[in-house]
Amino acid sequence: MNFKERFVTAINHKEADRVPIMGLIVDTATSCKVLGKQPANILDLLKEEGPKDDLLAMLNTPEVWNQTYIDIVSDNLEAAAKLGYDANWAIYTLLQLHEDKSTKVGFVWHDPYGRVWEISEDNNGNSIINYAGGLCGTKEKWRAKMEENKALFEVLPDYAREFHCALQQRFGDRIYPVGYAAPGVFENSWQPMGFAEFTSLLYQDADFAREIIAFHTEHYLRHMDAVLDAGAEVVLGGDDLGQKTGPMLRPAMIEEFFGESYRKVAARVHERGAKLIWHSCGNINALLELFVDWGFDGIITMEPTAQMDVAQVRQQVGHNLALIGNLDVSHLLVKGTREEVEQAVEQAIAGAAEGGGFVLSAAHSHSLIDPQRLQWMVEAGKKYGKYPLVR
Amino acid sequence: MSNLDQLIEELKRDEALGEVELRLAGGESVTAILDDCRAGMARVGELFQEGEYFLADLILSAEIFKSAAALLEPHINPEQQQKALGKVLLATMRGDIHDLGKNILATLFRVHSFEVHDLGVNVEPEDLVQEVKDFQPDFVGISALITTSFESAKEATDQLEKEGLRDGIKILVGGAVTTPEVKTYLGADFQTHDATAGVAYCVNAMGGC
Ligand code: B12
Repeated sequence: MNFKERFVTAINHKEADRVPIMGLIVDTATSCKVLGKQPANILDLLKEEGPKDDLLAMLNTPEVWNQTYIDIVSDNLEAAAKLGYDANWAIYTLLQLHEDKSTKVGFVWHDPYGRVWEISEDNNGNSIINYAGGLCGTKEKWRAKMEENKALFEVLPDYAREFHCALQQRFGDRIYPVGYAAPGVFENSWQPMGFAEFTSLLYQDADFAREIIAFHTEHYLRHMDAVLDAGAEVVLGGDDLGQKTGPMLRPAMIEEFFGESYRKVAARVHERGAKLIWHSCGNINALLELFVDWGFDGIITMEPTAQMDVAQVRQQVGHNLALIGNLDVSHLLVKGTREEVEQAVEQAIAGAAEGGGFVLSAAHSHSLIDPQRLQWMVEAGKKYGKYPLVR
Repeated sequence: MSNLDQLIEELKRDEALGEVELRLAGGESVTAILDDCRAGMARVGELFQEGEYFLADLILSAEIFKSAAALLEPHINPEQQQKALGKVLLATMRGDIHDLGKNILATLFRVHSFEVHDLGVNVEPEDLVQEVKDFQPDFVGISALITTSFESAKEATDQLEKEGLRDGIKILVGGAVTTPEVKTYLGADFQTHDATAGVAYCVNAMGGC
């Protein structure tokens, strides 16, 4: 059985030869360590003396951006394959570089939805980008930004399709790149405005909130179609709907505002004969029944630091959801001992892998996750994950 | 009898702000109106802890409070101006951009009459140390949601120690991924996953109730 068959079999709640193993973003720091290489650091270019107009014009040419971006993602997938994963996230993103004197670096990235991404350095000296707020704090600004970026929204699905097809070609014989239409409708709605600004709309200007959600749902379906066009059997979607103690919004409010949107997405994926795995961090125990109702086929991260317990979730939802997770990234995969990693893997498999429907993975990615610990996770997954499971 | 606290508890923003304006127009004291706002906020906090209310509710109540405070601000005459209970410096350190919890915390401190200086996210250790010198806070609150920021927080607390600035302040650390071990690692005085508990700690430390 190859990596893809193993992964797809598990998502279909059947026992493969063993439990598959999946990677998430694979942080640049992690992939550099795994591959033993130093990536080109954009900060070096930006710090150089002199005008940057040419650099900006070059990086903001879609062809250059798409090529640069696919090379970065390819390194991540290469590292994931080297770690022995069966599958890994693959997200397409379209960013444009803008001058911004208010930041240390003097430049930021903007995405078509109206987010600002700041550029900084991680603990290993790699340049990283992080969401740093939005450009759409008011109704007028949001409408103006969506109008301004109309052309980008038009081409984004085409670029995404090319990206996912190219990855299938590059990696199809080594690892399964699971196309991820990200970010989801909730995050695309709130992040360009701000959390307080957007969630206040849900209470005070429901019509405008619905306008935003409808706009993003429409676009999201086109993005998802593009991912599916690359021949995917399993795709990913996601929105962080939880925080440490529970859902971000009242579950009834999530249903009221986002239920229809999520149902449409799941229905589209199913129409195209694929399965939809949903990524959400935080404590989403109170949303699991809704996930099943919307038509989601699985969930990924199952964050242990937010009381997500794979065995308990399996009991709660049975085989209505495939579960992907959930090794801790606060301590275990940063500084845990080999015994601790083995034990966590054994426990997760014992709790959720009977009858298939379980994929082993870290609960997220960040720059201090240690490749050695990931290696231990993979080895333990292969050791304890062989079907039939030994009780 | 006013129902301002009730309106805030029920998250009725426009009605609550209307009530504030009405009571101001009726000549009521700013302190009495603020006390009712605080009572409403406290009730929202309790409902959040009980699992009845969710993050968005908590954030909306904070927004209502901020708007009410802005309406009250011009009516505070300098003699009536309450002295701040204490000074709080807040930061999310380098490597971390999560700020929803820190922003709620900042509002809760303001609700309890603390003077707050919020340095924002991705803060360099040396910037925090400099601000301790300039602002001279009683408390430094570090919000940490990602493991990568513990190192930069440690650089800051070590530097405070080295420069002899540590003794005069209490350091609090909070945020979803913090643990008692992180408190020990940073040599902090208090650790929590609950903003209300953090504020209560500071109120107590200032001899309030
Ligand atoms: C929302 C979110 C995001 C948003 C952040 C938006 C923003 N502006 O804040 C986005 C999507 C951008 C994001 C990005 C990332 N995230 Co994130 N995110 C979350 C999530 C789901 C919720 C955090 C949140 O806002 N909670 C709501 C607030 C209200 O809760 P809180 O912060 O805990 O605050 C409460 C208390 O703790 C307290 N408090 C907070 N601070 C302080 C301070 C003091 C002094 C006191 C007294 C109290 C106090 O007050 C609040 C109310 O009581 C968490 C999951 C989780 N378990 O929390 C992951 C999580 C924090 N993210 C995580 C990661 C890894 C990332 C990324 C690196 C992912 C990636 N690879 O790209 C990025 C980059 C982030 C970076 N460099 O900082 C991991 C961190 C893991 C770890 N151990 O390090 C988490 C835990 C998810 C997981 N699966 O493990 N994230």
